[in-house]
Amino acid sequence: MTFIGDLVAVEWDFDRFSQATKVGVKRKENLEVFFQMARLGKVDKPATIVDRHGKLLVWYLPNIFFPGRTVCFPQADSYFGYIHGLPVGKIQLCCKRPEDSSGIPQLFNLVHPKFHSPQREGKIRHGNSNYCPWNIYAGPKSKFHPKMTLIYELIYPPGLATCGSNCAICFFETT
Amino acid sequence: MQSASLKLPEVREWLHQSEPMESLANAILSIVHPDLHQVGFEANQAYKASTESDKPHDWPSVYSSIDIIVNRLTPPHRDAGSTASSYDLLISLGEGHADLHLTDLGAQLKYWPGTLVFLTGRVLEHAVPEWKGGERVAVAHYMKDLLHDRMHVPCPALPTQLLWWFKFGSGR
Repeated sequence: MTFIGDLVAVEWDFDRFSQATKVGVKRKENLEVFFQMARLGKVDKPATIVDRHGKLLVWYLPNIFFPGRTVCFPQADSYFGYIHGLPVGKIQLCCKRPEDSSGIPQLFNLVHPKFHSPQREGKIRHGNSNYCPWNIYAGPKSKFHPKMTLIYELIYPPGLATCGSNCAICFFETT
Repeated sequence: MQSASLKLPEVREWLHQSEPMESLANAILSIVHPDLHQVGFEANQAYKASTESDKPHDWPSVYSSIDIIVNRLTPPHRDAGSTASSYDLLISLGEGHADLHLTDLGAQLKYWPGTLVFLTGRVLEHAVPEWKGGERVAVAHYMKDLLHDRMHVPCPALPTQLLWWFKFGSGR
């Protein structure tokens, strides 16, 4: 039996590498000093990438979905039209600033936004939204305003790289 | 507590429409990482059982969070919400062409529409620096470590090549 596609191995140990890439670890900026970094180049065939102990880090499965299913805009129109046509007021509603126990608004680092607004390519308005079935952060240990929903719907105005507010998604992506 | 957005008919309709795609993604995950598929299912079921909703819904994925990214670029980043040994699932849809860059591996994966990638996104830095042509949608799936922690469902270790061979190869 052959393995799924090409099998590519890197020279480092995944557990050590994951320790070095933890949030707040300074070593992250100097990974190439501590690890033999791979240069795998372009990959266009099904492949799996493993570490030196055979742990499967990546499964790359190109074209696994039937092309006819990958473009379905008549159905997408209503959804994306709804999601990406939200008025600005809705955005601000979802970007309430969390407060600490003293009631003083906290400031969060927004210098590393996860998504960028590109030059306009498509017709559908660009944006991103997150869905999670569970409002798991609204428990008693939550750091957030109790009324703030964790199902955030962020629409960045065209031309802006971030939503410009201290919203939940930026908080989680930068901490 | 159920989130307010999932009570909206548009969102429910989208979840319903995307169910075949999510079912296929679930099935593929059950092959590439059976233990992760199992704990994702268990965590979602445990939370569903512990909450009440006046409008119950069918969440189609074993993942606990789905990002919809439309016509956007993604700078290099690691996903903070999941665990190191958990696979994030990225699905590229729409039109046009893009590359998924795994900067820690020096790899550029062709990110054609219809491509599916499981990667350890908390550890491996990834990015989509550009795309060309048409509308592009990426659907990113995550397993929230916080949810699994609250539900007392531990995250399994990464599968190994050897383990995968033993489970599915059977030496034949």
